[in-house]
Amino acid sequence: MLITLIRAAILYFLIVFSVRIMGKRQIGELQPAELVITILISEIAAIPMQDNGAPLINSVIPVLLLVAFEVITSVLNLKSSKFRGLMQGHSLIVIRNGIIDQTQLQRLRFSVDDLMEALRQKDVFRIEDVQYAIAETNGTLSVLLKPEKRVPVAEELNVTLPDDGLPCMVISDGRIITSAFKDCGMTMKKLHTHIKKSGLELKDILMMEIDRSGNMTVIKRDERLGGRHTKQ
Amino acid sequence: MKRLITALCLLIVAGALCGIGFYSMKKEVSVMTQLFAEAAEAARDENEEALAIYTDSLQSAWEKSHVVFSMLIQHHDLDDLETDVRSLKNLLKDQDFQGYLHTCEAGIIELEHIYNSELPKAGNVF
Repeated sequence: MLITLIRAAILYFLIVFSVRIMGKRQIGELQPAELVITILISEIAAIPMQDNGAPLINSVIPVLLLVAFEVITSVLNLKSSKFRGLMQGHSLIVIRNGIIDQTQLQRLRFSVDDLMEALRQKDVFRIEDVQYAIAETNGTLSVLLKPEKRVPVAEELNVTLPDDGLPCMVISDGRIITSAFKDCGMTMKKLHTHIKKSGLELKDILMMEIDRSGNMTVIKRDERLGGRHTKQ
Repeated sequence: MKRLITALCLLIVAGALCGIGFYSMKKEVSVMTQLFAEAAEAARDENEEALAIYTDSLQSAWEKSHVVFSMLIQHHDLDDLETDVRSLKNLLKDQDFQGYLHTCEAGIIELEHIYNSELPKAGNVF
């Protein structure tokens, strides 16, 4: 049993290392090749974890190779559009000016129900509202509504909205996060003023979030693991 | 660029592991086969003194080879070989020279099988 424990630990660190090498792209939407690599790596790692009779190296080498190939492929994808097209395919327009392109739909093996479901997930319920719908290479649908159906933005409405910047978490679990200070123009002195303003002690604060305009959200630490939310 | 260099390093590491693994296995197979062949020859001659030396040599060689084989080959492929090496002492004790000879020949065949199944040839790849 001790062997299983050691082997599982080695494989765990190998897989975590592999995913880190492959980068953040792997965690988000997966391209077909990335999906294949992810499934393969998990399968390869699972076998020697269960079977102590299989040499560990039989898993380590394929995992290292797959990660290396994946990284090299992603670099080639960046450098060459032809290679990218070959590996990932191309985006296809499935709706133009409210009309479904049935040829593309058939090519993608999408049914009308699949298309309607994807549109509904984008909060679009009428095909005629769509100017363009594009099936992306990762299987998602991007939708551009007709101009008269789009939600106007502040610029189009001639409205000026305050730029509060990025809200930063400056206190987490009673600890001051100094690394976040730069993003929200915070200093230790300013922070202590804000803490004083909140009427709480540092140790009583579970979380404090603050933006450039000084808007802050404070959650008080609660003994019962809850949290009283005080927005200021 | 850093990631690409890491990927190339991983490729080199994987290639080196394969290469080193294969040549270590080849070397150990060669050593064990040689010892089994010499022991078989001594068994044919019913040379008890030489067999005692070969039995010890085979056992100590196996202790060393076993580590290399276990890292590279499915463990169940090594079970028969281990049984053969361990049984030599008893066969010699019983003065069963015929049995000793058969065991050595079986050991050579098992080692050949291990080596052949690891050769990067079309039959093994596909």
